[in-house]
Amino acid sequence: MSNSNFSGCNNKFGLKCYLFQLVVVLLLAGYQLGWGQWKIETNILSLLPTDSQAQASQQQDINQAKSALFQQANQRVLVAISGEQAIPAYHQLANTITSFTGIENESMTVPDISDVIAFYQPYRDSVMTDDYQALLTEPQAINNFVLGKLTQVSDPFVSGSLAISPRLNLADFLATGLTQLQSFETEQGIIVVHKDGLKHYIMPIKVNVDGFSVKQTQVFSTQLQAEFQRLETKFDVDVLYSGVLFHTAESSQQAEYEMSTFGVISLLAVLLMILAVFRSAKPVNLSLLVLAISIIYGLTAVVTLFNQLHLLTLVFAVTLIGIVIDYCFHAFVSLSNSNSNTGGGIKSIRTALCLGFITTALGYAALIMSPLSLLSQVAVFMIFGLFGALLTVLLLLPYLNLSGNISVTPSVWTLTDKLNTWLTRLHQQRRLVFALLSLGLVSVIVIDDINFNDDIRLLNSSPAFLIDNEIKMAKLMGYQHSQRIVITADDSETLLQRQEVLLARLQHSQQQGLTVKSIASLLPSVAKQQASNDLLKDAEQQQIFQQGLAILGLTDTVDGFKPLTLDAFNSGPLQALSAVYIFQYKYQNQDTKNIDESVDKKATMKYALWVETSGVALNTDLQQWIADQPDMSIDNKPAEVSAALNHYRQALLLLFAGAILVVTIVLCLRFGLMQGLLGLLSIMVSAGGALLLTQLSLGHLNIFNLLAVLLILALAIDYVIFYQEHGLQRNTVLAITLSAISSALVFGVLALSVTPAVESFGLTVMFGILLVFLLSPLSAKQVTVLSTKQVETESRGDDVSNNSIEVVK
Amino acid sequence: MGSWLRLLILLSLTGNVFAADDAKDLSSGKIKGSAAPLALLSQFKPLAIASGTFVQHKYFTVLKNPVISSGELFLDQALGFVWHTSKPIASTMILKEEGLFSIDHRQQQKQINNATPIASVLMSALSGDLAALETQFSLATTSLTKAASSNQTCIELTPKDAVIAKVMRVIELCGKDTVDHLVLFETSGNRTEIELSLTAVDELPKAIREQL
Repeated sequence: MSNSNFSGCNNKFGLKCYLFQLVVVLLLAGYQLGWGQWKIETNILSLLPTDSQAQASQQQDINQAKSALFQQANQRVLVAISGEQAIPAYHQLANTITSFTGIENESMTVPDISDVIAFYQPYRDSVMTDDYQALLTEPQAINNFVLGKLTQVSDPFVSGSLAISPRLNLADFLATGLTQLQSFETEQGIIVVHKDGLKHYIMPIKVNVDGFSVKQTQVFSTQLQAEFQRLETKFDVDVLYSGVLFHTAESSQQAEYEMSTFGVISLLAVLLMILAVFRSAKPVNLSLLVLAISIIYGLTAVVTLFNQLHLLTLVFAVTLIGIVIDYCFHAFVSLSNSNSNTGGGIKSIRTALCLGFITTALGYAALIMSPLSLLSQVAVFMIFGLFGALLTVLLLLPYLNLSGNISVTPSVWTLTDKLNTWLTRLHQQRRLVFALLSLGLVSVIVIDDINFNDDIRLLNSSPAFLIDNEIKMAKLMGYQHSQRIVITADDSETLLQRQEVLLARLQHSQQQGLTVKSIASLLPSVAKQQASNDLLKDAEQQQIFQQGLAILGLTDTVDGFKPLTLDAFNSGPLQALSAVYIFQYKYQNQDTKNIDESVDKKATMKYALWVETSGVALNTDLQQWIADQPDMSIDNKPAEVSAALNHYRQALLLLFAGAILVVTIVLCLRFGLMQGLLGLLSIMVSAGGALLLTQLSLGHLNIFNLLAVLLILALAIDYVIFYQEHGLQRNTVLAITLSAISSALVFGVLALSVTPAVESFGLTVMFGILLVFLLSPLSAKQVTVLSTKQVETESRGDDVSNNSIEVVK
Repeated sequence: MGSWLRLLILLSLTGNVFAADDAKDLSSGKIKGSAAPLALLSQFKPLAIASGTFVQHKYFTVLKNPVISSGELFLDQALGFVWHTSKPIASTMILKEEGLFSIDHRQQQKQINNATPIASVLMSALSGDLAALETQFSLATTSLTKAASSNQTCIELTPKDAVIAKVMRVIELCGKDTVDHLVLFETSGNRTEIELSLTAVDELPKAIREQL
């Protein structure tokens, strides 16, 4: 009784402390929710490590430009119609689209050549191609050039501009520029591509959808796909379509389906299991309460310390659920025994829980200093979340006076005891088991190449036909080797000048087969225009054109300089082209976000453009040169995401090394060298085995398998510590069995997912849990045989078999 | 541009015997009759391998005198075409399987990537699919420039495609046994007249074949 009194006092004091800190945390959470300045970050690239502050800001700048570009690409859908009736089908589609709100036909109307020439008339003497410039040194070269142009069978640019620009620099400039940018043929104003003897009529469509509205995306996707289907049957044509939109729609539908089936089924299964084992709804409610509190702790800590929460943090942090549930089961099982004289109740598991928490927290603590903000966020989330769960389990649950209210079904005890007997037998053979498994592990590692796959496609659950469509469309449009180089600048003139620097560099590289497309061929920088104008004037003074003009019977003087600016260009007939290549975006500098909002808004608008290279991939020299430019970057989203995944994978492997070191120290300090190393061995073999089994079944490993290992490690540490502390006790065996089953139900079911990433995560967790479940008991101390009587005393006369049960002393 | 050249070469080289026509009205371009021009075209007996010369007169509205050029052309239906201008300045246009190329007087070779919309029609003409021509052009027998005494039939091609029509008003092909005269009327008012003289040969010169 005195013990219980003491325990009661202790509980009350503990509870007061607990409630006090809970209120503090909830207030902080409330403050952060209502007035906090944090934001949710979804861009995986924003999580990439950065070397210095200056670089970070540049990086952020160019990333924002790329996001804007990416957003543009997200809205684009390409449709290719082929077949006898392709043109009527095209017109029907164009008609139908006008009736869809939010979807528009983006087909560019081919500008009238005479309009274009008329537009350039004021700037006629400020533009010329590099080839033309090279001719300006000698009169004969220019004469020959002009004659060559004039004797061509038909050149609409020469025809149209000879009267206003008899030196033919304008005709040459426009013909070269438009040829470079409009590489597609048109038929009746429709872009047409020839492939495999078929004509494909291309319609670019713009869908006004932002990346976050999944529902809207699905509606557009269904609407368009239904229309394509109708065209195929009505006109007997083939409709090929591609666009991010369809993938988003398919993936989100798939995710919704999986969440609604797997999610519900696994949750129901866990709840049923708890109900079956404890015959009460209380444990269910309590687990949800503990889980909710732990998540609040974790989130509050992250938003307080980081001011932002990355969505991926939450993905990584599902591990929290697994361990918190684990804590709950230990608590429930011990509570169901708390009336016994052997000192059940939460108190009996306090040491093991605390030790488990300290080990896990120390392991994660190594991550806090990581240069990858995602991993530090995950670490903070896990440590504080687990801390909240630990406090709740240790301080709140005892006060709720649950003793006697939670009891384990007798038949469950019977099963547990049978399992215990089996595990004990396995324990007796543990040397053999460990030796065999370690040998197997090492030999498979030696024989089989462990290969990691950081491909972004792992995140993609698109059906094969969509991926096939993308590939076909890329072939059709010649996008296969194309790369985009993004340039940013504060103003349009700097932007155009930097573009010229890049183009000069690309030309200088003389890479065979490299084709470059850029708006520079129609809109040079003002500086370059000025230089061109000066050159023409110089040439005129040197009478370079005199002879040629005389032959034609024309007279003309070079105009004074008049700059063609971006604004002027955008008011002309080629505006649609500039809209494709140049875009403005809002620049948000995180360092200056506290500056008064009255700051001139124009100052935050920046310019970006892209240059497209195709034909061959850029050589390493060029790639390096571009990487060295602070305002330029090659836009290759898949490669960047893959690089980010690779980074995280390396960091995770480091984390594992750190965690294993911490575990070794803690286990050896607490349980002695031999036991500590045994515990470590079972953890390592489980984690390694899970990875190997995954490698064997999937053929490769990826970061998501490592994430699964993170969960397995956390669970294994808990299991091992509990077994080391309590031995093969039925309480421990039952709690751990329940924990393993629930983890398998919640995470293992993910192995059925269509998304490769989720599938591989689930698979590794499944293998890992199985191995941990089998191997962690083997690290328990030496077992001795206890008589059935002793066991009966311990279990308060529950229905126990007469078999002798071995437990740790 | 280049593609027009392709069309012209193709049309002229696949020429046939045009029925005599006494068209007189030069300025109006009045259509004299629509005696199944497609049927006429379909009687073409393609010259598989041929070579010849041309003289081209380009009339620019802003220039007092036409720009005159001349040269040779070579055709091998299996290989492609070479259109070589030798006077007043050398330049060459080559159509081969890999695409259309131009070589200027400095021997700089350029590929002409943006085949104009009618490139597909040219391919149809090459393969004898003349129905495809009718999808792109309205065909009519007419006489725009030839004197009545010339005893020649002319056929007029008006582009149906609005984009082409913005540049090219009408193409006129005239000839007796083969097309020997063609005129391009541009919407700008400029005009190109080409006189052709082609004969069938067994094989193109080696130097030409090497270019193809």
